[in-house]
Order: sequence, then structure tokens, then C-alpha cells
Amino acid sequence: MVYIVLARKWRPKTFEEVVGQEHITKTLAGAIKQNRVSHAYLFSGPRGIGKTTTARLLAKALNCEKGPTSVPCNKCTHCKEIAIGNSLDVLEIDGASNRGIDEVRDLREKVKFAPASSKYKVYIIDEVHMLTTEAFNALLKTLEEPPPHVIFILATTAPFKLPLTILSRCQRFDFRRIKSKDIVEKLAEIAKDEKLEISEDILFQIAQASEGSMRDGISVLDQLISLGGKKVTQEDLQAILGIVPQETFFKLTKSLVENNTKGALDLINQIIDQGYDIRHFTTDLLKHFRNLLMLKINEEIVDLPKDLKERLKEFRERFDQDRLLRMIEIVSQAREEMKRSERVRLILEMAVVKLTRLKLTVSVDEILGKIESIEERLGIMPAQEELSIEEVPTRLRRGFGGQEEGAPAEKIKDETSYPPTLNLRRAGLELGGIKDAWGEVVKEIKKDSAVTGAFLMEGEPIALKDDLLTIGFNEDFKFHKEQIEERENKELIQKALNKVFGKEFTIECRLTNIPRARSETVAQKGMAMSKEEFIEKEPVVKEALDIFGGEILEIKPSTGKVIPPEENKK
Amino acid sequence: MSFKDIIGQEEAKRILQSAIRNNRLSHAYLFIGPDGVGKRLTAKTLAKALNCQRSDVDPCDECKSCRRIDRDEYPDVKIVEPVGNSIKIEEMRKIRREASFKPLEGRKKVYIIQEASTMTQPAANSLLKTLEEPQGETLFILTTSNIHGLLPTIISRCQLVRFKPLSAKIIEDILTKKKGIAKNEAYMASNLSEGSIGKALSITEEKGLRDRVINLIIEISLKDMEGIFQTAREFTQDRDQIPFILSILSSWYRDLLVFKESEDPSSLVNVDKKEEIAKEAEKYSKEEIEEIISLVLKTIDYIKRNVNPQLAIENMLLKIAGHETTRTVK
Repeated sequence: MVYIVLARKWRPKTFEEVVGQEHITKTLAGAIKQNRVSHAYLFSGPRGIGKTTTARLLAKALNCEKGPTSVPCNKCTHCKEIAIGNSLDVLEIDGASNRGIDEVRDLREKVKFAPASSKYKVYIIDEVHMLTTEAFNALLKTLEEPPPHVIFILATTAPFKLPLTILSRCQRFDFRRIKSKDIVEKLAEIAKDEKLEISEDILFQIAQASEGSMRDGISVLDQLISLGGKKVTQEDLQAILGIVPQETFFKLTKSLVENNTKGALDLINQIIDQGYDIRHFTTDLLKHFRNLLMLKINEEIVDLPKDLKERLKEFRERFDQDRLLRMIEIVSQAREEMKRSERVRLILEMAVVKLTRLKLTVSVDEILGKIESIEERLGIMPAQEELSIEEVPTRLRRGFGGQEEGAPAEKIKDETSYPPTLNLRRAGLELGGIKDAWGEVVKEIKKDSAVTGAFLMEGEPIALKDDLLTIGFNEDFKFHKEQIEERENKELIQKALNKVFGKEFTIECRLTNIPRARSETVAQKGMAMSKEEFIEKEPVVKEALDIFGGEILEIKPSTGKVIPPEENKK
Repeated sequence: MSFKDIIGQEEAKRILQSAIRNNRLSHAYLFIGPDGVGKRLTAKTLAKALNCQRSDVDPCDECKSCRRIDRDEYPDVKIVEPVGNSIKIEEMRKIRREASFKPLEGRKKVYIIQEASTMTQPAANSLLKTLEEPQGETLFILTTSNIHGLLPTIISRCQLVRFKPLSAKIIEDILTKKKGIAKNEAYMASNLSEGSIGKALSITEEKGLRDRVINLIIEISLKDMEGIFQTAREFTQDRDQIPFILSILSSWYRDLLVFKESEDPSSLVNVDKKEEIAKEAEKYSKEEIEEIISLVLKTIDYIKRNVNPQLAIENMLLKIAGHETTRTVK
């Protein structure tokens, strides 16, 4: 006896059994009741959610001996014939294999004839997106005004591939992804019928893995049953879905907290040795970090079983938002690279190395803070040491001045040797004040909206003229600038400024080519020492150099502010 | 070969054999996993088990049916492989027609579609309806190493069976016991193979090449332009070897990075080159190594997309050697 897979065996037999598509089944049932059935339907939506099933149900409902009825009897000859695909009047056409104009011409010929025994001739064209352009065009006239006994149902996963002329001739129904909750319910029903013992937790995991597709969910259940046990274990599920146990993600997160590169790499090696799909693992890792971030922002939107959520919370305070964002960035970049490359292991290892190094990158602020305090202790010393521009490697020039590669050297010289313009100096007193209190402002904004605060952190005040405060963003942070320019965000900032300074400001955003890092101060504040001496004396500076990979360009006394280049170049 | 001879894929075997035993065999399976880990072998073994004249859960390997399936002569077991680079719709049409007939001799018609991700869009789409509800005693087995190349609608119609990359230990065993390769060499090759026996074998055949490539890349920073171009010429001499050479390079720099991060020689790929690795790792900072690795990966990607291999590799070597300026030909 041929075994029929569960997904076929459990194909819904009435409109009511179709899960999660009430908006469609109700409309169709209503149309039948009121005798307002259209002559052409288009069913669209992702895989495995009930398009073909609903098309067949509609055919049954129309051709049932007791019909047209919204509740087909499933007992009469017509219903039975349709169910096994033998009906002469319900023609299911595979659009992907019969995609040419000849097939459509043939269909047009046959459409004219009256149905053999039923009331309607129903043409179900599945995978209709694969028809050729000519075939679509040949279908247009028939689709618009078919003979009264004919009904077309087109079904596809890719409605955007259909010509507009086809779309406009059909009543379109968009099928939705099915909610995890609904899938769990259905799977539980099937499991009960198959006398399978399965926990709700496992059903939930199946539903999540199926991404809203009922067929995918039932298919996994089918495989679990075919393993033969009476009770489904977590191990069975991992074998079928190829998912890495949650424990691994927690372990990895732990080694990130501890900056334990070796431990993290060992963990990755284990995963690979156990033969897990690395791409899959990376996606799950991304989800894990995403959950961690969401847990910080809004607990409600984390879609996880309770105990996992509790465990995740332990790590919540160990990472700040910035670091989590960077982590997500690194992992999602790795995932992108994996799509194009087979060397997935290497890409994952690189990503993990970067992840464990993050702590250092984040502590740049601390290091800069230390530098500043040392500078304060040393006081500002006169005299400067000029460094001829030829000695500066290109890479560094780019890094410091924000200059594009190949910018004329004279320009850079200008920048380093001329004093800031008068204009700025006058404004300086106030601008300086704002700069000093900028952290306060950001903090204030974060109270209202953490997101706006995060965006604003990428910018800094660069000019002040009367009440007009200009906030500069490096070109790399164009997105942040645009976000800040949103009216809502602007108002938030104004409110915060008002609170901190007791003054109304107008805000303007501008893109600059100043690198964002406050590292500018390293170049600007300084003292009269030779470079070597300076490095010698200040291990912190050396540390900074190691991290940034640069060298000291010039050591100058502090002016206390950053000079916007556009002012400076004049 | 019967199921028990398939090494390392315990879970895949468990899934398939219990499906036969419980009479719950699906009509469509998708085998996913890297190349050279036993997907094709398992597919054929399953076909044999379903048509074997003596037993059903594990094929006897002796009866006429089993032997003919082994030789690809059995009328009810068809293997479809990409012709050129793809599987085309004509091939699929033929299968669709045939699949609706009853098996000629055996109990089950089996279609094994190798490298299913090479099906063209029309070919894949034309299979959808058949794959969902085939008539009669037909079984489809699709295999692929790249699930992302398959339509989601195809994947959703099949039961997925995952094949794992073989662990280095298993590959080492196979190499030493079945192929008679020296233990040391087998160890290195199994670590470089990324879980594929096929790859491991070709590595042992090309042992000399790896040594040469690594020596050349160690020397590269000492060379002048002319020397670098010479190296590039050597790397690109044999077009078929280029992917392998680049994968040696990426594993080499990976080792440098891993060694720098963990100072632990146990997780190295090129285990036989511990000293060289330690010495080379001194020369670079972690960031530099990372940069080089992404450079190598990029080059692999470029060449896959038909960039002139010589230019791509010259460019890569120049950058690795620290000559950042682009090519100035005399």
C-alpha cells in the first residue's frame, strides 16, 4: 500500500478546516451563498498555506450535487471525483509544465464546450507565474469574458510575475502566513490522531521553523513519526531540523562576555565537527543576538518560551546596546558573505574573532577619556612640531583629516597650519559649552527615546550661529542624519536642549567629512615633545595607536574644539 | 553497498530506515549536505532497498536488482544529472511522463535528481506538481549541496534529510584504512577537507602543491614586483587548480589568525607546519590577517564570477605583499 504523506492526508475537506485564512474562506462561502461567484480568481501567497486546497474546495462547493453550496457534502460523485482528481469538469493544470502559447490555445478551444455532468467547468491553473508572456496574452480575452459555465482559478506563489492585465481581470485573494499558534493547534490535533506523544514546546519549535507554512510543519511532524518512537524527544527534533541546541548559544555568549577567544573558537569547532549546518547556525545566532537586544528595549516583543527568556535575561546587563548592535552587524555581514561563498567555516571563525574583540573596540571611549585626563595633568604647552606632509602615509591622512584619497596635499597643509577662522572663534565660547554638555543632552533624549539618542550619538555640534545649532554627521552616518531630521526627533532634541541649556534652539543637520571619533582631540591637544618622547611617556597613547593603527602626525596645544573642515578650508 | 557500509551518516540512515520499516516513506526526499559525504550513495542504497528481491530495510547487494542498480542498468531507478551546468525542462518533462507509469520490474520507481539546485527555473517549476502528488509507486530523491539554490516551493514539498560533513576523525580513518595513506598525511588532509572524502583524497594527491603554495606565500613579502608576478603566473598556470590553491591560502591565513588568537596548535588545519605558522603569525597583526583573509575570500568570489583569474590573483598577491599601488607595467 502506498503511504500517503500526512500533508496530503490532512488536506482540508471543508472551508472551515482551512486554518488561518478566514478572510478568504468566509468571503468565498459568502459569494457562493449569494450567488455572486466571479469567473476568475487569483490565489496568491507563500508556499504551503492552502492556495491549491482552497481552489479545489471552491470547485467542490460549486459542483457538489447539493450545490452550489458553501458546505460541500464530500459524499456525492462529484465531490469524490474532484478529491481524487478524476473529475472531467475540474481541470487542474500545471502552469509550469504547460506554459506555452500552444497549451493556452488548446485550452481556449476546449473552454467553449459545456461541462460533462456538473454545473461548472472549473480550470485551476497552478504555478501560473511560469506561463510565458505570449501564453498570458493569449489567455486575456478568455479570462475577461469566459462562457457562463466556466470559472478560472489561478494560483501562484509569485503574483508579481503576472502581467497587470491578468491581475486586473481576476478577483485577487492574498493568503497569509499562518500564525505559529494556529500551526501548533493543528499539529497537536494530527499528533493526537496518530497517537504520538509530543510536547507543546516541541510543537512550538516546529511551528517556528516552518515560517508560517502548514505543509512544512506537517512534513516535519511526519518525519518525526516515521522515526518510529511513540514519544518525540528534543534530540529527534534536532536531528530532523538540524538545529543547534540552545545551550550552545548561551555558551558562546558567555565566552563573548569573558572575551575568551579560544573558548569561542573551540565551541565553533565542536559545532562543525558535529556536522551542523553552519549557515543555519549563523542565522540562529543572529536571532539569539536580536533577542538579546530586544530584551533590552522591549521585553514584550521577544517571542520565546518563558524559561529561555529568563536565561537570556541573565546576559542582558552584560552588553550595552552599542555592542549588541555591532554584534548583530558582524553576524549579519557574515551571513551575507556565506551566501556567496563555500568557505563558510572560515567566515564564521572570522566573525567570532571579531565578536570577541568587540570589548576592546567599545572601550575606545575609556582610552580617550584617559588620554584627556593625562593631557589635563600635563597642561597645555606652547610650540608645535610641524611635520612635513610628505611623511604622512596616505592611509593616515585619510583617517585623520577625513580627506578623500588623492586630495591635494596643499589643502591638508592648510588645515594643519592655519588657525581656526575668526567666525568660529567667536561662536566658540558657546559652541564649546554645548559640546561639553552634549553628553547631558544625549542622556536627556535617551530618557524619551533610546533610538533617537542612539542616532544622535553619531553626530556632534559643529557650529552655532545665533539660535541655529548645526549638528554634523560624518558621511558614513547619512542614515542617522536623515533620522534626526525627522520632525519628531528634531522636536525631542529641541526639548532636551531647552531642558539642559534653558534656551530655544533651531536645529540643522549637515554631512561633514570629519571622522566621527572624538579622536580628533588626540591630534589637537598635545604638547611640545617629540613624537617618540610622547609615545614613550604615555603608554595610553601607545595603546591608542596600537588599536587605531596610526602614527602621531603632529602634537599641538589644545584649542578645546573641533574645527569643521568646511570653515577651515576657506 | 548497503546502509551499514555508509559511514558517518547515522541520523540520515536512521530517518530513512525507520521510514521503510514503519511503512511511512514519503514520496519525495531532499538530501542536503556538502559534496562528497555520501548523498548519492545513500540515495542509491535507498533505491536498492526498495527494489531488492530479498530484503527491504537493508539491501542484500547480491540479487539481480541490487547489482543492476549498482551498474545504473535498472529500468525503474533513474539518475538525473546536470547536463553542462544545468538540468533543463525537457528532462523534467520526460520524467513527468514516465513517472505516471507503474514500475516495470521492481516495487518502486525511484528518480534521483543529482545537484537539484542546478535545475533551471522552468525545470524546477515544472516539477512542483509532480513532486507534491506523484501517482502510484514513485519516489523522488533530490540531492544538493546548496539549499539556497532551490526554490522554497520545492523544499517545502520534500522531506529534508540532512547529511553532515564527516568529522575529521572519520575521514582520517577512511584514508588510512581503506586508501592506505600514511597516518600523518591523512591527518592533515582530513583537517583540510572540510568534511568531504572527495576533497580529502584530492588533497593527498596534491601534497606537493600545498607545500609549494605555502612556501611561495611565505616568501611573497620579500619579493619585488617581478617576483610577485612570477608567483601569480605559477598560481594561475593550471586553471583547474586555482580554486584549490586559493583554498590552501585561505586555510593558511586562517591558521595564522587562529594561532594568534588562541596560541593553541590543536585546532590548526596545516598541523604539519606548526613552526612556520608560529613564525609567520609574528609578522602580522590580527587585523592585517583578517584583511588578507577577506581579500582571499573576495578573490575566490571574483574568480567564480568570471573575473580574469590572472588579474585577480596578481592584484591579491600585490596587496598581500604590501605593494598597495596598482600595477605599473614597465
